[in-house]
Amino acid sequence: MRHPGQVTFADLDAGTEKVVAVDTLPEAMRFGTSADGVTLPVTRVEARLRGKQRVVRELGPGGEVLRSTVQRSIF
Amino acid sequence: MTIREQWVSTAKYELLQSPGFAALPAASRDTLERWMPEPGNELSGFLRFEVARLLRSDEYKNAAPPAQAQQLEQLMEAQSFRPAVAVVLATPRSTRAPYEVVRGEDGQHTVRVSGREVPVKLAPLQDDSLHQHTVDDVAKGLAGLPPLQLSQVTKVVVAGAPNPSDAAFGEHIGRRDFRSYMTAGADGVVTIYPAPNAHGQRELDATLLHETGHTLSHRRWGHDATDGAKWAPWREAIASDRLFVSDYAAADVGEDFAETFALYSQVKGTEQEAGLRQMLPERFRLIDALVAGEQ
Repeated sequence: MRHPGQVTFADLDAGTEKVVAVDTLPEAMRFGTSADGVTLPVTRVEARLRGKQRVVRELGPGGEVLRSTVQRSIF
Repeated sequence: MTIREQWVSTAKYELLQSPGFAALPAASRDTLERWMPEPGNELSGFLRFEVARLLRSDEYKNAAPPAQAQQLEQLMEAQSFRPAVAVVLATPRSTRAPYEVVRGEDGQHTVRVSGREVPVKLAPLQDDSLHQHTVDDVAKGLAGLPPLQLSQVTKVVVAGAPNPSDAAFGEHIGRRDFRSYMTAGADGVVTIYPAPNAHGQRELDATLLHETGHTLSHRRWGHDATDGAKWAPWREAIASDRLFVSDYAAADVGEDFAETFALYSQVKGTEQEAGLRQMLPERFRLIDALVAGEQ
């Protein structure tokens, strides 16, 4: 599957968004695997604070969550 | 007994005697009483303390009953007593399922727990200044998961280097110090990254519990932002219960599920369960059905 070429990064706490060309991003984050085992392009990345942690969700073209990454210690 | 403990213990009695409580609509009276179960739990304790503080405030004492009722409604709506995250509401379980680590070659291990075999890949640490979880930490974490969450994990990778996406995350969300701790994939692969400071078992347990809750809900009900119909019962349960277990749970319906499910899993079978079930009856009922395979 080809990547559509752009990834939107959204900071949900700040309410800001920016669009980034996919070829500027590391290979590892351009695609993800769905729950059904299908490889899908990451087209949106959403960040939000959870307590003292920041959580980043990488979404596919249908809004499906492909990966969820949690930042550093909260204890 | 501290003043806080005293306030918490008498808050419900004082509330029921208050003219402002009597002036509330019946539905709000029922809800507020339901949120203050006996015996208490941490969430109820936070609420009781806020109620006690409100009842002692000049603003409340000097108000007429209808205005007092309005202040109680505001307290129920704002829920400023909630913690930031639900993990602080329950004592971590001291019991874990029996587990066995089968050590293989080249860092390819297997954790046997609750009738499952979970592959655990331990990559060589590429920077000695970083701390890496051990396969035993991972095994303990998996053994602490309830069966339904455990079944979501297909593989665990303990990475030997930081997440290659960290720099991009940091640059494009404006947090240049971003450093990943754990990534949970929709395919059930969990990756844990090394960090400058060692992470404790409690953080591993809590993060696994929360993130596997997301994996479960996405598999059963789809994405909360796009699969509206499948999430409708959970949305209705939120509206009925009214109470959120944490600020983060209130962020969106998917986080509410993950936070509530993590708390449910922590208190199931403990003396805290009855109280929280009274406070969150519709969500606990839905999780019961989910655990039983009916959802």
